[in-house]
Amino acid sequence: MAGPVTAPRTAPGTAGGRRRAATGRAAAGATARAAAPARSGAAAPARRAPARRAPAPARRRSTPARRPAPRRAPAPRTRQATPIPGRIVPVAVGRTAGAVGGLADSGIVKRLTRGRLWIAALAALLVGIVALNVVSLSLNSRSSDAARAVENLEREASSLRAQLAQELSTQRVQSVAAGLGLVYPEPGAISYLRPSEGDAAEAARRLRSGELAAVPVAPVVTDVTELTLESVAPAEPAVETAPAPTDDAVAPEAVETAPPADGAAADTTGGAIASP
Amino acid sequence: MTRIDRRLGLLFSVFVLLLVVVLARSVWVQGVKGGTLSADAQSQQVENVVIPGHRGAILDRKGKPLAVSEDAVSVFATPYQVADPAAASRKLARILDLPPDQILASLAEGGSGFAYIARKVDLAAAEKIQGLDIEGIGVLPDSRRLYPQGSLAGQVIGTVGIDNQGLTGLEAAHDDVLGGEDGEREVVRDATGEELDRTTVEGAELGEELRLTLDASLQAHTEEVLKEIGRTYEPDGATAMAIDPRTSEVLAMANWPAVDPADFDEADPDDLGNMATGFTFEPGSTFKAFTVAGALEERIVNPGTVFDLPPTITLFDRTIGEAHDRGHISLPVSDILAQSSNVGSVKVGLELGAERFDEWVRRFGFGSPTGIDFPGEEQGIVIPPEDYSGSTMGNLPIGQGLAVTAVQMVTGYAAIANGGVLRPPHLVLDDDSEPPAGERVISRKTSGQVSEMLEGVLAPGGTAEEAAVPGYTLAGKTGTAQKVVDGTYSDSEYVASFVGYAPAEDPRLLVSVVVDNPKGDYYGGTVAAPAFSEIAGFALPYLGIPPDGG
Repeated sequence: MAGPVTAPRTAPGTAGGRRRAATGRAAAGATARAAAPARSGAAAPARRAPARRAPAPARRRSTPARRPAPRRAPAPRTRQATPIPGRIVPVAVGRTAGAVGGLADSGIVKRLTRGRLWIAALAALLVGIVALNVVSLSLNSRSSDAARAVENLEREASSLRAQLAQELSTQRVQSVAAGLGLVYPEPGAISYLRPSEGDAAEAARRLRSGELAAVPVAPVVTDVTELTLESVAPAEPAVETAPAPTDDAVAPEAVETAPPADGAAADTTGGAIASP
Repeated sequence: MTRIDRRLGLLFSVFVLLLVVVLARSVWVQGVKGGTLSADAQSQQVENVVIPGHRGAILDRKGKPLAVSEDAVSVFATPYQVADPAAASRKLARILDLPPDQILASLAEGGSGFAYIARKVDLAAAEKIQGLDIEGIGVLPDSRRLYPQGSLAGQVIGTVGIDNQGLTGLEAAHDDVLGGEDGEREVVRDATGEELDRTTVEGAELGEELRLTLDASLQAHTEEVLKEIGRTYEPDGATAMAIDPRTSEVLAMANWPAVDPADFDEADPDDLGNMATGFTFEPGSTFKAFTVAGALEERIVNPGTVFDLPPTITLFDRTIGEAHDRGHISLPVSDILAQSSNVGSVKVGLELGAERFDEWVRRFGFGSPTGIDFPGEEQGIVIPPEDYSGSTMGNLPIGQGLAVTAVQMVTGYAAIANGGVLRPPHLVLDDDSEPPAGERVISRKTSGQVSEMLEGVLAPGGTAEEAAVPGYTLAGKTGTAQKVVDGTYSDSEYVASFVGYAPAEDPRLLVSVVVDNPKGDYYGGTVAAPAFSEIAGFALPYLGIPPDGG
């Protein structure tokens, strides 16, 4: 589509131009040759004139009814003028250069570059770039600090878990318990009661009347990782409730205990009994 | 052209020239030398640090930690960067509690460019070392294993290597579960070493927890009892197990001498093994229960079948007598077991015959590993009938001439206690799955008959009448086996053992005690049976097992 239109506009000296000149020469025949003796410095316009003029009448007479068959010769010429990439690039470059040149010469650019505003603009851009880098580094540094803090906390948690595990070791708990006068009951010192018919009803009646109080059993922490500082911190002693048994001093399925072997254990074995 | 225009032109030319220089330099730096410089920068500015993936914790059945991991560091040196190795080693030695010479030797390894000074250093020490700010000395994140209960179940839990891989015991057996996955972190530093950025390339993964069937308190008490045996009888070793015969969950598996997994390097190599699964011994009289059980199940005898028992019985070149001299007597099968008659047991075994006897021995699991989830289990020694000599049937029915492990004995006795089902014991608790179905080896009736006979062992007149737990009816069997030394039975070295359970009518606890070569006394009834009483006396109320009829 563009071929037939662009071909005539192609600047002289390009391949298309040369071809068109040659075609013109072929079409014009003797007219071009007749002009040959006039070759001199000022003859260039005179030389082009016949070549350009020759097709002109043909165009003016080119109505469908009158178009003679030989006048169809421009068809191959049109195919030859079809642009190829090698031709487009120089054209584009030339035009872009022209446009940029035109922009540089435009009034706006001149006013901007010759004024003092552009200095401020450039300075702002430079400061912005520097500021962005500084902010980026600062954020990196803060992110790094946060990551380090997380790692430190994880380490601390790991250490505390290990410390807690050691604090809860059987030997230590037993040693502390022994220091408090707690003892494991002797097998013979425990008596067991079997529930009989009516016991449940009786217990329910006594619970209702307030004679008995249900003692909540402290949950047994089964995973050291679930332990929190609150869960291992000494709790306020519960009023009217016995200490909940730990797994180191689990009371058996008893509801009654025999008198303790010594006085030290007296306060520890008479409390409420909970199943392990 | 004006003068100003010329100056501008000159300035422009200078700038263009400078630009050309800059461009040329950038092409040189980025294009030609780009690869090398990038690699150098990477090595100098970017540090890839391995984040250790902690091993999962090992917990007892109640969640009490037996082994946990915590953060630690490895202290390393780049020897050629350490300006004054002698001074550095002195400073480090004070913090690390290591001989300065040892550190100096590490620093002298200049050729390597890298040397470990110490591994598994705690974080407090690490902080001090970093505070020293010695050039060429650094720390790397590491993980270390802690055993909060000290030596508790040391041989069972096992140990880990320097790279946190399981080496022995459950640590090795379940390494795939416990082992964590290391991660990687990228740290970018500027030219002064200040950290600019820190990115976790790949997060470390924590290993899974392993929950055992062991009960830390019962384990501790069992070990305490063995320790007392060690003090009293100075044996070569001792082991005790407590299991729930209904499920074959191992509640305690103790060894003496105890070994602290944190100090395996310091331990005697002979003490590192788990005697319960790795020590084979001739069981002696404890084995008679299986002889009788087989004969009862085959209906060759019944508990009341009376045998005429001479003082000794001779089979080819071997004469078998009783532990204590006696005259000619007649005893029913029940009393043969209760009084641990050698002659009577041999006669019962002979009634059973070699082939069937061997079949029963193997049916109770002897001669092959029980399948307990512990590595390196021994299978014992059970000779096939075709290799029997003329006197073999004089030995085997009384627990001589074959070798068993404590865990095999416990498994076999658990089958007698639980109504006749043989189940492999297990150490890892799995709340989600049912206990193994096991395999019925004897009928409930036979199981009850043998249990009744074993009650007699602890009754007045039995071989372990002093082994008692107030309020509980016990059943069990003593064993006193001569050790084989230089191919012959020793007159001075014995293995004393006892296997028993309670309550006899509805067993919920089975305890076995094996003492290797006790000094002074050596009878199972006096060395091992009291230990059984001690363990059961603690465990029964502790586990909330009510006494018979209670």
